[in-house]
Amino acid sequence: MNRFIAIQPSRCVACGTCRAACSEGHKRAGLQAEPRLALFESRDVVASVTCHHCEGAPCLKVCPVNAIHRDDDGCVRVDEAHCVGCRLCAVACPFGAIRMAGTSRAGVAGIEYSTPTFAGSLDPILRWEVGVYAVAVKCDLCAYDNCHPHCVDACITEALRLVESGEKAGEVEGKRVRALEADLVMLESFGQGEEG
Amino acid sequence: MSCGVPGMEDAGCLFLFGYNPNTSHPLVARRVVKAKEKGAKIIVADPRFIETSRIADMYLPLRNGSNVAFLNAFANAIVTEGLMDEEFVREHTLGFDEWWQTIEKYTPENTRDITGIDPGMLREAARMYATAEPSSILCWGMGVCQHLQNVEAVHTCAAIACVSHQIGKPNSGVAPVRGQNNVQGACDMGALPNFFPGYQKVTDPEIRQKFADNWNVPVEALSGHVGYKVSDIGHLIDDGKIHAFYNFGEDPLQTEPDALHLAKQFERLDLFVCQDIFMTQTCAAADVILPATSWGEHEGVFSACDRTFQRFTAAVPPKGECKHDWQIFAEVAERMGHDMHYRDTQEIWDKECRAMWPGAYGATYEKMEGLGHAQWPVPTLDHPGTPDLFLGGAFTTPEGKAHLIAHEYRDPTELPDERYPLVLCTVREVGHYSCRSMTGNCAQLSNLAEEPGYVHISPADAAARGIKHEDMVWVYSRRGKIITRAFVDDRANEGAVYMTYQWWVGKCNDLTLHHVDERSHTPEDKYCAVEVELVDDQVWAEQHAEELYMELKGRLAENANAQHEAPALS
Repeated sequence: MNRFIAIQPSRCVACGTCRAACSEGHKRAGLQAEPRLALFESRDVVASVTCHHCEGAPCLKVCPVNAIHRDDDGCVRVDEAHCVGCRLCAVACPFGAIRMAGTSRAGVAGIEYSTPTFAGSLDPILRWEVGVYAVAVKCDLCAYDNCHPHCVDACITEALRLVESGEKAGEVEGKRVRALEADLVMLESFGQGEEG
Repeated sequence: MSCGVPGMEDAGCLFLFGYNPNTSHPLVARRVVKAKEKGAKIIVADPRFIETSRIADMYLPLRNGSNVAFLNAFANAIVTEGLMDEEFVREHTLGFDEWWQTIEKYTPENTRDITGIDPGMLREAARMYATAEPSSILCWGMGVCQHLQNVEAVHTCAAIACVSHQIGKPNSGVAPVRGQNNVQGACDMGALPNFFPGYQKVTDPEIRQKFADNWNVPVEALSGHVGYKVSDIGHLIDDGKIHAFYNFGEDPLQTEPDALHLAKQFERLDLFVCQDIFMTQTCAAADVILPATSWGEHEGVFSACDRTFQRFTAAVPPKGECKHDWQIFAEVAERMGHDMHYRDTQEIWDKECRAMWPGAYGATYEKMEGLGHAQWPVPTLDHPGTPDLFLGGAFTTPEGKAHLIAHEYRDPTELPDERYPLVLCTVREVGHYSCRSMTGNCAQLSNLAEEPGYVHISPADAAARGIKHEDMVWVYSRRGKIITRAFVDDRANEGAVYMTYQWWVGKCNDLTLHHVDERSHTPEDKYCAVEVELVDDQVWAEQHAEELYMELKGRLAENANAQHEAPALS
């Protein structure tokens, strides 16, 4: 069964609570604190963008060390401990849902703060910092907490939800009918145009 | 607010004027989404394409600083389009003829050069607002209050609600949401220079006598003069009128305009006391720091912006030397020779609020137990509270009628010019709360949004300066120069840039103008002139910003460490 996080953009208020909950949950589980959802804002749309757990997941195919695998629940996951940080998956992902993150040296081993060696406008995939081992991070549907996604719980407008195929089949059918009706309306109006 | 926040969901139209709920109050933004889903029309007027613009039925991109011209023209359109409720105006308002003499001059057509709004669009918006069923709510935020013509704009907003009869019925009227958590509560409890608790005037001898009796002091001990406002402190120090400043739960060196100048003025104080929970830049400048408890350590009552009292309880006991604010105040009063004792917050609530303010008498701790609440006015024990004010057009003026007041438009104080061609408008972002003294200490929130912060700039203005998204830039005004990061934002309008006041490195209040209006003395935080410039060496800029941040953190940590040293005995 396929499962993924879906968003209803008309409900999203861009509060970022999903990202905070994602970061908090993963950090507590000893994983990278980098949030696995990106908040995309433009004039037309606001939405959290995250992994779709694709059927033919390109990230999984390109990983040279088999650090990415598909679990029995259909979810595509990265083993952060085995990732070598080659960035191939981040390049291959069609949704930009994979980010690179590492544990900063600031605050450890007598180093008070990090000294940036690159411009902030540099593409995150190209960033490299002395002594920081960056690994691929992506949505794992909160595997550390019985696959109970924290972002969905945190969403204040119920814009985010966990889609599970069996449960939503009827809804997909409904969309087909609505799309067909819309097409018919469009066809009719085209027809009128031709006649006129 | 003349209505309740939950009632916003059931209005027929929400008109958001200079208010961005998504960043300042996400829980109100949630109500806006629900109202939209229930069929309400949404109108947004804001120079920037704010988040709500996306789901709005109409978006009016007015020019920065043109509020009063816009509102006058909006009022004009309501009257000239025949949308006015003449009976309501006749029965429940005063001063229409005089009001109209001013408003008549501001047509949507002749204000277009000031506001940049298409007259047809403005008339359509006026129609949508005035004719919505069952009601419309006019919401505004700091986009009204922090302009030069703030009180003037508020008068006009209220007049618009009155002439279109979108006030005085359920879920209608005016909704000035507040800038900070519990600002409403601070005002309710008399933390204003002109009021005792419950908006009872200090200038009224009978009121002074009432409070003198309650506090067991001679009436002469209570000043009948309206006090000073926080925005006046700097120049009053210069004038030699203020020698000591007791600052409580605020970080003015971060939040007040022209902060560099204010820091110099604070140095001239004879005594500077700060009561806070973290070492802020302001605390670091203080002579005495009184450590208070945080929201999780104390109990009390908050007032929401819609006049709802909500009781909250402590989650954990206070740590170390911290004391509750009320305990600190009582102990200071004691040492100054006034007998002040309270057992707990309930005693304070009963004696100082409920007993002294008839409108709050019914708001007992029992009623607010658990998730209970009470919305004032709530005059009796069995009163259900008042979500909607002025029902049936019963206004609380001496005549029982609303006063219509109009004002001429004036330009903002510091207009852009060749050297400083961009308007700087200070705004909120959702990642941190207020001056960040609290949320900046939360690792997860800092992980999501960290120094030096951003200046939001339109793609056209960025391209003209060779600036890319995430580049480090200088921003400077006549008052200061700071380094920050550019956010190239297609929601920002050309000619204006937007910054939040929470960042220490990218500190917009080193740039802002200290100019206050005559009535409320609120600084003009939404408008000053600046220029933005790309930093040549981007890697140096990243390192420089990091160093500035670490220097300041180090300085504050050093100041905080003083708490571990035993005080010198003299």
